[in-house]
Amino acid sequence: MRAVFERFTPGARQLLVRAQEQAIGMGHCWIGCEHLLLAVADTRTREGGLLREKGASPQAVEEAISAVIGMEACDGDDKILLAGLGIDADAVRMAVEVTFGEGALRAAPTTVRHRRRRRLGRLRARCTPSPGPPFTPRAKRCLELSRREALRLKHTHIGVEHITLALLARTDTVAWQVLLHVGVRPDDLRQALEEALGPPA
Amino acid sequence: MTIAAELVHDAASQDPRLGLRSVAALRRLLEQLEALHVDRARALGWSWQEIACELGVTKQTVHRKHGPRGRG
Repeated sequence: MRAVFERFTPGARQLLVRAQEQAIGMGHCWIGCEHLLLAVADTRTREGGLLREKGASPQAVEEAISAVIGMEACDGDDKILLAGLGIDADAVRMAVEVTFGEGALRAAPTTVRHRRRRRLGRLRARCTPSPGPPFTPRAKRCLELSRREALRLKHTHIGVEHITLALLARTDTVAWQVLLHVGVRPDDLRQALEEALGPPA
Repeated sequence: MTIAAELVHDAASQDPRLGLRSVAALRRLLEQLEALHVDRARALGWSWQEIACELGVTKQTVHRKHGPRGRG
């Protein structure tokens, strides 16, 4: 991964930071192609302008992400983490509410005794804050692909434009589905971007 | 599996942090469920011994955790 980042422009690096912020803002515990797309739509770059022009505004993209992954942005990521284990937290909550009434699970204490909590507090102080959410394998592949896009265009740097091209190159990503959801044809967008970039130098 | 679940699963396959956080989330859910059911059993007049038997732990464990001085 380090070799990939070396030739990234400051703008591209900023985009990755922005994607991370978007992921955290949505309550997601991963950084996927969809967050990269959202970050592009939110930048003051030619690529961001193109996306917005076609109807992929940051707001529309964010709504589409929630719709496509089938989960609203949420405060804690417990629900999403449990989903990763194959547990439908909503189904559990509903089953519990049949017996215990509405809101019972939320009100239930997670039993931790005082003495243990103090000890936990000391342990926490020794923990270094854990870094942000990890990139998904597909997002990593996309970043590697952006290097190939730069190579193809005979550019020596890797910028936002190459990441955007890479995002538009694969049909198996959530980003692709998100674009279709907002009514943008990824192929059209890719073509428009290629034209804006001009022929390989 | 929903797409969200798949994404977490994919990311967790590369990063143990997510796997560990999933375990913590599961534990929180478990603790909440346990508290609800223990409270209900107590309200219905069950003894600590009976509750402990069903949970498969000792009477002392349940009492320490859910008794009047247990919860913080």
